[in-house]
Amino acid sequence: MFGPKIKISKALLEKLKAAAETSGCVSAQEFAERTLEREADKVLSRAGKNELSQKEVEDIANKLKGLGYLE
Amino acid sequence: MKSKARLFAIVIAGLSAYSVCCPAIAHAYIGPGAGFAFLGSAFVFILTLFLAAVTVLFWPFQLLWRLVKGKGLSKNARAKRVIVLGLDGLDPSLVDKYAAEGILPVLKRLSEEGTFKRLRTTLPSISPVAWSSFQTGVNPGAHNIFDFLSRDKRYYLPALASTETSPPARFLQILKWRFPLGRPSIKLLRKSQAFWKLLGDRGILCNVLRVPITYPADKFRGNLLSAMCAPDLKGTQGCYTLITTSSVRASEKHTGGECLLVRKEGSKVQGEILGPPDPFLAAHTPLRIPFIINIRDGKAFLTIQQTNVHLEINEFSEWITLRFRTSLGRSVSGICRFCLRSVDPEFLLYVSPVNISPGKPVLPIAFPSYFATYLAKTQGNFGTLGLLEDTWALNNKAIDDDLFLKMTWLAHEEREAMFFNLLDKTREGLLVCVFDASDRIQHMFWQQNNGNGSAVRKMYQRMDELVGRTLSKTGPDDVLIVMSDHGFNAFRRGININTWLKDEGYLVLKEGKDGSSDYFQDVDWTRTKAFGLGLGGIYLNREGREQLGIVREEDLGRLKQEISAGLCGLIDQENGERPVRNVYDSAEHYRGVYRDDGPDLIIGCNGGYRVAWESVTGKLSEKVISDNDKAWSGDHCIDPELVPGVLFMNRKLNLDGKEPHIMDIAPTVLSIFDVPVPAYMDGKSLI
Repeated sequence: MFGPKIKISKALLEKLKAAAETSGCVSAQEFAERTLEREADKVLSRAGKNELSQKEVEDIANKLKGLGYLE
Repeated sequence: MKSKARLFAIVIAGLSAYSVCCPAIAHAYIGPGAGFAFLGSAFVFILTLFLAAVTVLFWPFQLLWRLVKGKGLSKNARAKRVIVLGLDGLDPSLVDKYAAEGILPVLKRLSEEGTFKRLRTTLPSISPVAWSSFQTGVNPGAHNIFDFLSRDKRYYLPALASTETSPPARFLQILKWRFPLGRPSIKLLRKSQAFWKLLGDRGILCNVLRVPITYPADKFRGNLLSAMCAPDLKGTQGCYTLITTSSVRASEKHTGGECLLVRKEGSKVQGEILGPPDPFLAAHTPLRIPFIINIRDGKAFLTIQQTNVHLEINEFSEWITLRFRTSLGRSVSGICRFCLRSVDPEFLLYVSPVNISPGKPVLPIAFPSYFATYLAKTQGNFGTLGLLEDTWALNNKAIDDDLFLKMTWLAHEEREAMFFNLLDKTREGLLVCVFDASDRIQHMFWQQNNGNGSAVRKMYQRMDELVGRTLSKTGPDDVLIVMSDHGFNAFRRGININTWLKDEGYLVLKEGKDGSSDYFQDVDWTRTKAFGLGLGGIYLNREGREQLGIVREEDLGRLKQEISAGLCGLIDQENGERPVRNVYDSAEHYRGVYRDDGPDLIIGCNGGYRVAWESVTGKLSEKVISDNDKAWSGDHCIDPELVPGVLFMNRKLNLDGKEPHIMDIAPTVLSIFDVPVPAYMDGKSLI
C-alpha cells in the first residue's frame, strides 16, 4: 500500500489485466512487475561490469554453504 | 586539543542525530546477504503491547465488517477445519510394503476408510519446487521455483532460487566504521500466491508451520513460521563448527562446516564461536564469543557467556542462547546446540549452526514476527534453520549415525510440540505443518538395505503414530490430509552433466583450464552452448537471455533434441545401465510468465542415479559417471514418474481413475472451505 507507484492509463491497465489472465498470473500487478523486471534486466545486462569480484563470489558461496543437496 | 575535542563532539552529535533520525540504524546488514533488525527488547515489548491494544480496540469493528461482508467460514463449507500433515518424502511403495507387514496400522486404516493414492509430483521432483506448487496450485513456470538453485544471467553464477538478499544500497563510512543508510532487502522469489492467503482474505483462520519456501515470511491474515531455506545467523544454509585438538581432523575438508583447531591446556580447552561479520565494521570482522571447557573427573563443563552446562559425551545440549555484541554495543541473538564427541585422546566438540533465535528473531522467519516469539514462549527454543538436520556433519563424519538420528528426532519433537499446540488452538480454519524427519532419514540411511533398514523402518512407524495421534484429535467436521511432496529412491551413481556436455562439445573450457573450479569459473561462455546447473536442469546459453548467449532462437529446437537424444542414449560402462530415463523440454511442460527463467531441459534420471555432487554448481570431473560415496545415499531428484508422493485423506475421494497431482491440494482445500478456486490455478479440486 505504501510502496512506490507508477501511473498508467486505464486502457493499459485493462490490457495488463487481460494479459495477466491469459498468462496465468495472479493479478495485473504480478504481470506488470514481471514484464518490467524482465525488460529492465535486459537493459542492465548490457551495461555494468562483466565479472564479479572474488569477495562477491565468496558471498554467493557462503549463502549456499551447508545446503545438503550440493557440495 | 580544543579542535580535537570540537571534532569529537561534532562526530558524537552527528552519530546521535543519525541514530535518531535515520531508521536504518535499526536495520543493519550482517553477514553474506542477511539483513538483521536490531529492535531492542524494550521496543519489541512496547510494539507488541501497542499491536495488542489496537487489535482489542478494533475487534468490534472487524467483527461488524465480517458480518457485513459475509467473511469467515461459509455455511456451505464441507468442513470446519482442514489439517494438512506434510511428511516430506514419504514414499508410497514403502508405505505399501510396511502396511502389508503390519507396522503401519493407522495409515492402513486411513487408506481403507478414507483415501490413499499416489500423488504425482512436480518436474523436477525436488522439495522447493513441489512445496511451491503445493502452496500455490500452479506449475513451476507460474511460481518461479525450478530447483534449489537458479542462476544469475549476467554472471552465470548459482544463486539460491527461493530468496534474494541484498545489503542496503548505501553506507556511510567513518574511519573503520560503516553505517547503513537504508534497509537491507530480503525477497521471497516464489511467485503467485499461497492458498492460505486466499483463505485469510476470507477471514478463515490459518496457521502454517514449516512449509518449505516460505522464507522470508509473507504477509497474510494468519500465522506462519518459515522453513526451507531460512538461513542461520551467518547467512548460510547451516554451517556447523567442529572444535578439535586434532591437527589431522582440522586439515580435512569440511563441506558445509568449519573446523577450528584448539589446544588443551591442563584440564581446560578454550575456543571461540564465530558469528556473523560485525555490520558496523568495514573490515567485516566476524563477531566472536569465547568459551571455556573444564574437564574434571572425566566430565566436561562448558562456560559460555553467563551459561554453564554439563556436557555429556554424545548427547546434545539444550539450545543455548548466544549474544553476539557488535562494536557499537548492539547485540544479535542466536541459539545453538553443543555435542561433546570426545575428551581424550582427542578433544572433539560439535557445535550446531547458530540458528536465528525464535524468541528474538532478527530475520523475518515468521509472520507476524511475534508468532515465532509466541511459539518460543510456549514451548521453549526451537530450531529455525531451514534445513535443520545437519546432513553435511554426517557426510563429513563430524557426527555419527546415532547422533544424526538424535538430532533429527529432537527437531521432530519440537515440530510435534508446535503442531499439537496449534491443533488444540485451531478450532476452525486451516492448520498446515510439514515434518522433515522422513526426508532426512531416507536421504542418509537409504543405503541400509535399500530403504528397508531399521532407521527408515522405525521412521515410518513413528510417522504412522503421529498420524494416529492427529486423528485422535479430529472429529466429523475435520478433514485430515496426509501427504508428501515426492517419494524416494537410491542414489548410487552420480552423473556429471557438465563433463558430459564438455565431452560432447556443448560446453567449452577456457584455454589451459580443466573445469575443476567451482561456479563455472573455467567456462568460456563465448563458445559454450549449454551448461548444467542444479539438480537436473540444463540451460542453453541463449542469445538475448544470457549475458554472453550464443544460441540463436532458430537453433533452440534442434539443440534441445540433440542433447536429449545424447543423454537418453548414455550408457554407464560400469554396469551397462542407462542413467537417464527421460529428458523433458520445459517449453512443453511449463506455462507461465517465469517459464523462460527456468532450465530449458530437465533430466529425469533412472533409479539409482542423480546429478553428481560437483556438477550441481558447475564443477567438472574426470568421469561422466562415478560412484556416490557419501552417507547421503537416498534421493528423489530423478524422473518424477519414479518418485510420486502419497496422498491420504479421511474422506473418500471419487477420482474417476485420475491420479491426483500435488498442484491439486490448494484448490481442494479452497473448495472444502467453499472459497472460489482462482482461474490461474493449474491444479483441480479433488472434491
